[in-house]
Formats: sequence, structure tokens, C-alpha cells
Amino acid sequence: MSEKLLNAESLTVHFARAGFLRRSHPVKAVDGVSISLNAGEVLGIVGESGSGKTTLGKAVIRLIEPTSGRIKFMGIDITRAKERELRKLRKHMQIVHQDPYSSLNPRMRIVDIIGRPLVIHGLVGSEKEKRERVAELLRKVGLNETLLFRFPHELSGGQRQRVSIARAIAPMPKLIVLDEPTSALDVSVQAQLLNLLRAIRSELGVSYIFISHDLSVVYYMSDRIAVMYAGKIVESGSADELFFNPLHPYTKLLLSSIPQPDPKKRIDITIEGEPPSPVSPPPGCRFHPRCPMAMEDCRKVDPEPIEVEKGHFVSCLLYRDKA
Amino acid sequence: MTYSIQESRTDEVLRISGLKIYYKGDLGLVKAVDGVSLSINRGSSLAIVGESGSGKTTLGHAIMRLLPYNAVIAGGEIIFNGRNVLSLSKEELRKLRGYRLTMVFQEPSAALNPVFKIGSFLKDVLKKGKGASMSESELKEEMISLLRKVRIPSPEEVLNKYPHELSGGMKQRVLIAAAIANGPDLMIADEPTSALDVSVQAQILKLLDELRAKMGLSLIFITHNLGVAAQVSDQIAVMYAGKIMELAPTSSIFETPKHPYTSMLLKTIPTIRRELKKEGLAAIPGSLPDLTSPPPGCRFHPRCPMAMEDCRKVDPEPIEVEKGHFVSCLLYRDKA
Amino acid sequence: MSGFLESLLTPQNKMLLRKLRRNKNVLLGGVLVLIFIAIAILSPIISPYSPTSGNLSEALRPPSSNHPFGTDYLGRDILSRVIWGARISLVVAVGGIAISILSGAIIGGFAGYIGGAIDDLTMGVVNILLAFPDILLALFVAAVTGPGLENVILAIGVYNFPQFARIARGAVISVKTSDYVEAARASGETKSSIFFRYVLPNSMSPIVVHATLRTAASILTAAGLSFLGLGVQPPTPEWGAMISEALYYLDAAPYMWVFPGIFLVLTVLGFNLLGDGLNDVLNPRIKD
Repeated sequence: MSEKLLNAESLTVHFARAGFLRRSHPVKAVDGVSISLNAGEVLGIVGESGSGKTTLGKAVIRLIEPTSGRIKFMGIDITRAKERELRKLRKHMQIVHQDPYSSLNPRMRIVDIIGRPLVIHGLVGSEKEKRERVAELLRKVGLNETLLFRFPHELSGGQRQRVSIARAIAPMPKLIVLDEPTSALDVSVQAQLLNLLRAIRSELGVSYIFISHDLSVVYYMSDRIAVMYAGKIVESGSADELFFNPLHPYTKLLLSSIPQPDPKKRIDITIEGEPPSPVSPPPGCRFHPRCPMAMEDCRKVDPEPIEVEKGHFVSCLLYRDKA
Repeated sequence: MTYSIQESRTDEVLRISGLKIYYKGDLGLVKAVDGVSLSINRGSSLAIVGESGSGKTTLGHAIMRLLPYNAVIAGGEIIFNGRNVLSLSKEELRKLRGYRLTMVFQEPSAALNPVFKIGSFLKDVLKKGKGASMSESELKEEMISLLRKVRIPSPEEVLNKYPHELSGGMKQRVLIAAAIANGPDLMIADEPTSALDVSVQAQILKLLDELRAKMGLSLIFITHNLGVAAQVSDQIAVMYAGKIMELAPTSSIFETPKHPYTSMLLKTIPTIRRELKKEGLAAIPGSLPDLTSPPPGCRFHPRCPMAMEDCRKVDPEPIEVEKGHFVSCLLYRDKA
Repeated sequence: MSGFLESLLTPQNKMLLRKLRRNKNVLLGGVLVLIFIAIAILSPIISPYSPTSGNLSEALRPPSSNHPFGTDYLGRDILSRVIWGARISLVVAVGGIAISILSGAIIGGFAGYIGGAIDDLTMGVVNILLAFPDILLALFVAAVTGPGLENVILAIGVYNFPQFARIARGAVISVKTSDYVEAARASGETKSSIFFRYVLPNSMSPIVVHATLRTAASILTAAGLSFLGLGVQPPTPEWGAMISEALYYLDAAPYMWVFPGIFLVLTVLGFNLLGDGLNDVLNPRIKD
């Protein structure tokens, strides 16, 4: 049996909110979510703001501490791993943030920004070797090595995001969490970066967790996709299964909300309302107040994931007889 | 109305000609808008599409005369209802804005004063225009009907709420209500859905489209998203580096794009198609030019696969290749 | 350490320097401050007479070619005393600010970086200290420790401490939660490395701005303490003490207080202008 690269079970992340005299209700950003990832696979996580997708992505690599649940990475239980142990494993798990303007240390030169992971993990012996490796990485992400001694503010948004990618691939990780890596960029730059990320993946065999609110981008990048709503995964499956045979009413809503670049395909949605506050989500199924198919039970029963077809899971009472 | 003579003669709400707006920057003049001409008819909707630095936002804000202090109007005119907005006095402008000419912004939270209830905000807007002589109860009725128009559930309650008690989508609806309150001649929407989630964006786009049809609203919609533009416009102007590259009916832009930039831009948008995953996304090589010293000739030529020798030298003029379809590209100069 | 210094200085590239040079406050304030520092450093060379010994037969002479600012009641040359006074003010202000930066910024920055109970406790103390008027704190320290140059420096250091602690904490917290610090954690950086390579260099600019502004206030406080007799003791030439000595001769010898007064005002103005200007240029929230 092949070991999964990453296996996160019943992961929960609650944020305690500041309360002066008493504890107030925590924000349940992620509430009992399980995901797994094979080596070399791309898992897309799609959801709207407040769905918990970014929190989930950061929690599985322990940049945010999970409240409960279990995470196994490369066969090692890292849920309670100590700082020192974790630091060694960080070589294998990296992140690229959304905002290229805040994810690079403004007081470091590009050579050091990309070179730090190499130095930390002892992958280069000398300053000269570091410079050579960084120059190579710059070329790999499509940047000119003349940028070596520049500072981040001298670079455009697209260039900075390439630097972020170079930093992430520097220690040859097994997993990179890509947190909306192209959302802050223009479409023409986005296309360049998505293609770069695909090329890097096929060259290095690295796995991605690709987080985005943009369904088309997630579809383009992912092998499997999980749809999140209010801290839970409502549906997951292969990219094609999920987008060409969506089962959950929320997935269907999302898909029909995409403004198509085609004036003949006008948006026609009937679902109103907005996602609930993560402090006090509705009882039962969290989507029921907006769901056109909602039944009496949806207010009471929190639906469990049901495997409707092989690898296609949906958490919706409409499918409970298929369990 | 002193300027109704011209208004009656033409169906044109807005005509911009030869507009140039530069910013004084640390590294020299930034040519944000550099010779833009367009017009918009009553009841029609124009989307201005472009990437960052294309000048679309500057153009939109110039129509409202909402430009930062380091902006210089280097030429051209903006004729709104027969009068040049650029030469109006502050007093005349004040009478125009929020009344004949309105705007909806990207960040709904930033556009609402947090200390006023929705009711008093809308009342202020109405009193400026058609609510000037209304009684309190008439005003309230008018506000409720406005909120209904923008599909806000339980409008009576919302009037008594503060902005922070509303979600982003609801705030944007309130701002749209304010923008249509006095039956404006033109509404400018600057990326009104970019800060919203997809499902909420879809609702707002649908709403704007409805309002446009029902109220005969003229709309200028500024967006970076061609998908959004497709949903709300009759015409699209594609901007690049301060210039309009192509201006055409929306269907023509998507079906028969003429300018190489437009057709390449269309191919960079990911869509949910199986073939796309296999073929890969087309990308435009290179990056946006530095607007303090834009490339000579056609500004797109350094990135254009069709670039010819002349493209480095000649700045292309708009050519009407089909009725209402303008393209600024030397490939079409024999059609002029 | 050189890497740290380099990281502090180099990104202040041409653009920033240009912005600094174009800022009128920075320019005017900078010139005033530079003149002040030059006088302070060069005082032994440029002062025509001894600042502490005078000729009683020459007492209370109005300005003349021999004594451009006149002489005081002990016959000392006021110009020389004003020049040496710059040195005292510089020592007091720089010494006091150095103490408050070292204590305040390190304790505040550390509290912000660690967070949790330590942070709550530190900020509790800081907020209590902030509840007292500055001058009261300084008076208290000066009264407890007694007069003298070192004690004035200590008083200045103590009364500036809570402000620096709070500013440093705020700066550190905003940097600590930034994406690039998270990315550094993801790269496997150790906590101390994150603090010295990422947090510290990026928290400096608000502290620098505040230090400039507080220097102005500290010079005034030092003068105030000396004026009240709690600061630098005679015969040390201190501007506040000089003005205090002039109290008995307000009408008879206005030059005794006018000249130190003018220097005091110009110096404080210089630091304030420089601080405001730096704030405009370095603080990203104020848009240009």
C-alpha cells in the first residue's frame, strides 16, 4: 500500500476571540475536515471568503495550530511535533502567499530571500554556492539573474510572486501550499504563473494544495478538488467529476455564479444570501438557509460525507440513501 | 436647465475626446491616460476593461473629476450632457455628482460613513435631488422603494442599521440604491464586484443588468475581468497602457476580436473546459510597460507576436473596421 | 552585525533619499539639527571664552563686539555658555533617548514578539506609566535621584520609556503577523533568526521617527528640570539653567535669557520638523 504524502483527519481550527472577563464564542474557521494527498498530486480547495480554505491550508503544514485532529505528513505524525522537529520537516513543506507585496522581507535582497531556505537546511556550503543555486532558481522561475541583488520593492507584482515560488521550491519540498497565488495579479500575468506552476510540478513531481476562490483557476490546476463552505468540506472529487457532475447545491451555485467570458451565457442564479458568520453558523447543514432544496432534516442533521461514486464525496442529505 | 439645448439634439450622454491625464511621479510623468476618445449613448452600457496600469480607473475617476492632487489634465475634454466636466466650477460639480452623475466604488465599506445609519445616508442623497421637497413620510417611502429596487430584504429594518451591521454584498446594494436614487444620467461603477465573493458578485451583476433594463440607465463599468464585462455591457473598450486598443459591441469583442492584445487577453482567461487542461493556457509574454517612458509607436508592440517594423514608429489611430467596431492597430490600416 | 546595519541602510535607496531631500520639513529640520550637532561637537573650538569662569567686573554687559551675546551676572560670556549648552543638551537628549530606546524598544518589542501573559503584564505596567504626565514622571525621578547631569539623563530615559515600549510593541506585532514572517517560519527559520533578520529591521522606522520627535521634547524637559533646579547644576552651562538664572534680570539683562531661549526654540523646532518629515516619508500610511 502506498503511503499518502499527507493525511489530515477531523481537523479543527478554532480561534479564541479576545474576551476581557469571559471567553467569548470561538470562530470555528475549520470544523472537522479531513483531506489527504498523494505524492505528486494537486488538491484544489475552493471556497468563498470565510470558508476556512486558507486556514485549512496553513493548518496542515502547522503554520496555524490546529485545535484538534491529526496530521500525518510523509508518514510522520506532526500534529504535536515539537518546534525543533518541525523545523527539519519544513524543508519538505513550503508556502506561497497571495499578496506578493507582503510576502517578501522588504529589507532582504532577492539572493538572501531565496537563499535562506538553502542555508537553513544546509543545502549549500558556501556563499558562492548559494549564489549559483539562487541564480539557477531564478532562471527556473523565468527571472533574469540580474535580479539577484535587488530588493523586493524594485520588482513588479508578477516578478515578486515568481521570487516567492523560487523560495518555495528552493529546498526541493514534497508539498507546496499555494494560497491564492495569482489572485492579486492581472490575468495576463496570472496565465504566465499558472503555466509556470504546472511546469514546475511536472518537472519536480511536487504536490500542491492549491487554494483559490476562482473555480476556473482551480479546475485548470487541480487533479482533485474540495469545495469548502463555512468551515466544512461540502463536496470533493476529481476535478472533472466535481465540475461536470456537481452534486451539492452549493457547488452548483458556485458553478452557475462564474461570469463567463461569453455574452450569450448570462448569469442566471436564483440563490440569494451570503455565507454565514463563522462565529455562529446555522445548525444542521450550514448551507440550509440558502439552499433551494432544503428539507426539514437539514436544519437538524449535520450531513456526513457520502461516497456517491468512487472518490466523489458529498455532504448533503439529498444523497443519504446512497450511503 | 441651461444646457438642455444640446441635450435634446443628441442621444449622447457622454463624449470624451483626446483625453490625457498624467500623474506627477517621483520618476517623471506617468502617462496614465494618453489620448482616449469614446462616447456613450443614453441607456447603453460600456465596460472599460484593462489590466492594472491600463488607465481604466483614472479614466473613470476623471469623468467624476475625482482625481488625486498630483494628476494633471494634459488635454482633451469630457462632455457630459453638453458641458465640459473639466471646466466646471466646484459648485457646479457638486450639483452634478451624486445627482446626474453617480459612482459606485470597489470597496463598499470605504464608501459608507460608519457613523450614519443607512436611512440618514439615503435621505441625504435624496434631498440633493428628487427628495428636495418631500415630506418625512414620503422620503421614507421613497427610500424603502429604492431598497426594494436593489432587492434588499426587509428594507424597513435596514434603514435603521449601521453599515457595519450589513454584509459586503448588502452594503454594495445600498450604494447602488444611492447611485440610482435621483435617476442619474450616467452611473460609473468602478470594479463594484471585485471585493465580493463569486456568489454575491453574481447577484450584484444580475441586479445591475436588471436595473439597466428597467430604468434605462447609462452605465460605465470598469473592470479587469472580461467575464464580468461580458455580463453587463453592450460595448467594451479594451485599454492597454493608457490607450484604447479596441472598442466594439460586446459580442464582437468575444466573437471576432481584432486587436492582437484583445485576442490574446481572451485566451489567458481560464475557463472550465477539459481541452484547456490538456492544451494549457495561452500567456502573453513580457510585462506591462513603464508608463513614464512607454514604448514608441504602438504600446503593445514589444509583446505583440504580429508586430511589424512600422509598429515601433507609428502610433496607430482608431480605425472603424466594422460598424461600431474600432481598433487601433496597424494590421488594419488598409481598411481605414 | 554588519549585515544588520547594511539591511537597515541599503533599501533607503535613491527614491527614498530623493523623497527625503524633497521634503521641506526634513530639509529645514535637518539643517537646524546639523547646526546644533556641529555646535555641540565643536564647542571647545568655537567658543571664544570659558563657559564657567567669568570676570565679575565684566558682569551684565549687553552685547558688544567682545561679547556678542553679552555677559551674565557673574561676568561669563553668554555666547560661550550657549555654545557649550548645546553640548549639554545633546548629551542629555541623546543619552536619555538611548536609555529609553534600549529599555523601551527592547522590552516592548520583546513583549510584542512573545505575546501572551508577558505581553499583557508589560503593557499593563506601560499603560499605568503612560497615565502619568511626562513631566511628572521626570520630576519624580529627578527628585528621588537628586540633581546632576547623569540623573537628568536617567529621568529623560524613564519618562520616555513607556512610549517607546508601546511603539516598539505595535511595530513588532504588525511585522510579526506579516506574510513574510510566516513564510520565514515555513522556511524553517528559528525564532531568534526571525526576530533579528525579519522583525527587528522592519520595526525600526517608527522607532526612528519617534526618537527624533522625543529628542525635541527631551531637550525641553531637561531645560525644564534645570530651570526648576532639579537638573544640571551650576555652573554647568545648560540652557534651561541659564534661563532660570536670568529670572532676576528679566528686564535688566534680557540678553541673558533671549539667546539661550532662541537656541532652545530653534533646536526643538529642528528636531520636531525632522521628525514630522521623517514620519511623512517613512510611515507608509501617510500617502503621498
